[in-house]
Amino acid sequence: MKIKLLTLFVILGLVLSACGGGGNAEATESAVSEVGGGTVTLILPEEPTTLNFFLADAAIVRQVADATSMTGLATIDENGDFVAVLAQELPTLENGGLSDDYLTVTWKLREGLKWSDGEPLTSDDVRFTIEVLSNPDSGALVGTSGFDLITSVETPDDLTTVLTYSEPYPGYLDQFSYGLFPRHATGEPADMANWEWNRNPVTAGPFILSNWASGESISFTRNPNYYEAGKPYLDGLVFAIVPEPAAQSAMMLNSEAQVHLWPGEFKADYDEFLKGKAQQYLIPGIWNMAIDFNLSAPFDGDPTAATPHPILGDIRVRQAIASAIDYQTLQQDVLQGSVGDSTNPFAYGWYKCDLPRKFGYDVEKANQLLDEAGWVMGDDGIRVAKGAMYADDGTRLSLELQGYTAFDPLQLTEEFIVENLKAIGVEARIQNYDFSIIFGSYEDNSPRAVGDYDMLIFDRGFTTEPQGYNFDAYHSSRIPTESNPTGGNYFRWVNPQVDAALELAGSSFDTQTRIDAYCEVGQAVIDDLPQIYLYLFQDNYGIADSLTGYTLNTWGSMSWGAQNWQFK
Amino acid sequence: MTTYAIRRVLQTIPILFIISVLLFIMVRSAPGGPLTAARRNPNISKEQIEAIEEKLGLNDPLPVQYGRWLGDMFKGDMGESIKFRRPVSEMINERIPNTLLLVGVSFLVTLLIAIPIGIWSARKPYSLFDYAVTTVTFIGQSIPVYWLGLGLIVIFYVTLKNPISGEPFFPVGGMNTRGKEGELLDTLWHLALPVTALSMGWVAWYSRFLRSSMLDILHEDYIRTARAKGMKEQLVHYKHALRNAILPLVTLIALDLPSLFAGALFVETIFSWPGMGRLFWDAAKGRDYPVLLGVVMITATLIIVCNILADLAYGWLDPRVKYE
Repeated sequence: MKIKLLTLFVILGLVLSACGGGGNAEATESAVSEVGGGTVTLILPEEPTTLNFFLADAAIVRQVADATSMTGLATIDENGDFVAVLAQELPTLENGGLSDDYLTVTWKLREGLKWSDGEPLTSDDVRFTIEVLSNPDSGALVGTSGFDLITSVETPDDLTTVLTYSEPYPGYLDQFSYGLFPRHATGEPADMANWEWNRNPVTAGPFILSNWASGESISFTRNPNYYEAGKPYLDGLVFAIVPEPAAQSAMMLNSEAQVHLWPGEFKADYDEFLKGKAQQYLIPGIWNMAIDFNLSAPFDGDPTAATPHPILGDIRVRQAIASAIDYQTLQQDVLQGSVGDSTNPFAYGWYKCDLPRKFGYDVEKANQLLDEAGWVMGDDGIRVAKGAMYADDGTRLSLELQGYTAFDPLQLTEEFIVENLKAIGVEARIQNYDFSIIFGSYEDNSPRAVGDYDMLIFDRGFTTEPQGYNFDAYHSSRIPTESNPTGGNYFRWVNPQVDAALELAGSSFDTQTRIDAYCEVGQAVIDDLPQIYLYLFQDNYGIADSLTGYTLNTWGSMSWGAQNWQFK
Repeated sequence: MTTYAIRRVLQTIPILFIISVLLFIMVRSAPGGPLTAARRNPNISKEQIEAIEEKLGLNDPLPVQYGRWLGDMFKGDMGESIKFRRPVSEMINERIPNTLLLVGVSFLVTLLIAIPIGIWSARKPYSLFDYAVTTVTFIGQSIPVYWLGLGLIVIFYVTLKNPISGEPFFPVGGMNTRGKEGELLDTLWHLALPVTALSMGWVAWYSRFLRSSMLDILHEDYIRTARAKGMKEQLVHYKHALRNAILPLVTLIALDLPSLFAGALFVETIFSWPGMGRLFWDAAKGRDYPVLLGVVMITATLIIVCNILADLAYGWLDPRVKYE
């Protein structure tokens, strides 16, 4: 008996020693380089799926890729301006890089550029990058805009690339700001999704991969062939994958990590906890929180704007709701200053529109608007319809407020809004769904797509080129229906003036004309209230006091500019 | 016994088939899909998403997709992760050794502590030792593992420091210190806290189980007989009582064995341990169907196999049990 039990243990032990020893024990060298700059550890809450930005479906990829594979001809700096990186200078009208008809762009590479494996980086690699990103079968998810407009590529010498466009393309700098592909170290363009390069890129960036321990860490060493002499200053970077927020902050406390992506604590608490070790820094992000209204009747089987919403169809109700929200308290107390103010979709970027709220916090005004609109106070403190525009008499002023689950700031905001609305006799019922339902497709019966909701609260964002997103969200041709399932005008908002402004912004090459057009849309949102903007999220990073040269960049990520970092 | 074993193994085939169908339906009826995150990425157009769904075959009828997946599984191909574009088998192979190490060591530690405790508190029931152990095990059983894990980090990583080097006593997580990958001592050092967190509940559970099983048996007639004929207490306990008391424990162990492969999500998350639990959870969150199905099918298979092993071990350990 004893012997048999013992055998069981021995077998278990053998299994363990056989399997346990051999894991991912690839020893990483921690080579000490002559530059002697040390290694910075960066904390990631989850593992990126790839180091190829163009395949990235989530923001986490760029957090790592910026340090290695995303060095392109240009980049967007912390001021939002384009600057040349691998190019000698930006092609403009003044220097002749951009032709007078905007159809020809000439890029000149710096001299003596090399890939991280020592091979020369030439105009042929620029050509290859275009071949890949213009290939519809490449599997690229992002960064492909404008490549289909390039009709010819000429490379008269190793440094020069001359591009001809079929029509003027305002994003001609942006499209070359996310990295180049080496022809010799990748593969077929149509097979991009499966390149080995995606997990171990040969690059022109400051750091190169040395070890990827799945689920644990991704390590990089300095690229000896980086184009800026003497940079990067550091010997290496380690991205540690640490899912538990408390463990992340503990690592910062023990100086085991120097850069902390998206700390879970508010700045005041964080700085107090890590006093003398690290601080939290905030920069405006691109995620803009708003309450969307459904202007069309929900649950009537008709996704179009034909029938107005019985309650929200009356603009006075929307104005009353806008006046009932205490924006200041929400931003500064509830969310402890972790967010900035925002009144319209264009809250950041070159297209930013500083427009004041038309309906600020004013409870008296809100009550007055509802009284006028035919909503009288009921016995239970919730108003009921009595002579309202669309609602039958006796209808309670009760609306569902949909959001998505498991995102603390959103839940705090919802609860605060419910309190605010209760104060003016409006009942808001919180109904949170999984992320995948809120952002699901028309075919999946996502409530916002099929138009079966009252109010929806979520954060949206767009990048340096705003046209695609905003046309989709606000143009009346983009109301989602059976025949137009991908439309993004979930409000069912029809405003001819907005349609015209969006069309103008999409066809103009003149920046000021475009800004004016977008601001016209922004103003219409404020006037017409298809949605109410609440606040703009800020990106937050915890950065150790021992690190210098760190630059916060709305358009970059946590590892943007890592070549400039140094230990004090 | 051999025919019984063969019959049981053959029975697993239809069971696994039914499990695979149910799993496929459950996984696919969860809301959303692998491209949900892409859907809210402002850089990705909806047309691109549709094109990729088409390319991945996600728009085909479910039975067609199931047939394709099952066909691949028969060929030993678990498919490719939608998110990582890597073979599922490769991703699972990376994680299994880590999980075996963490859960296996915890298991071993559990048994080494729980069995003596169980025996001792049964030998001297209602003694000071028994009461002390009972109290501690009840506490161990009631503490949620994530709370215990965080508590251990606060005590041994944040608060207490080695007075000589000023370094924390134990690391906050991960499997190795950078540059010391594969070094046994370093790995053991990293194992200390997660193993403690994981074993605490198990020790409580196993020792309680063994204690009550021992107590039951100590009241049996044949124990009284053994004592009556003047046998030493030592022998009564270890030869006669323990042998029978440990039988139900074998079943319990066999049923817990699959977690060696399934991993321990909470502990893996808190201590940044790259195990199967996190692979499963990440795949579930991202609706990475091939990875999700691969992990769950392996776990399901192991549960069935371990059940068979438990039954067979029972017959082996207890001569009274006969399989026809």
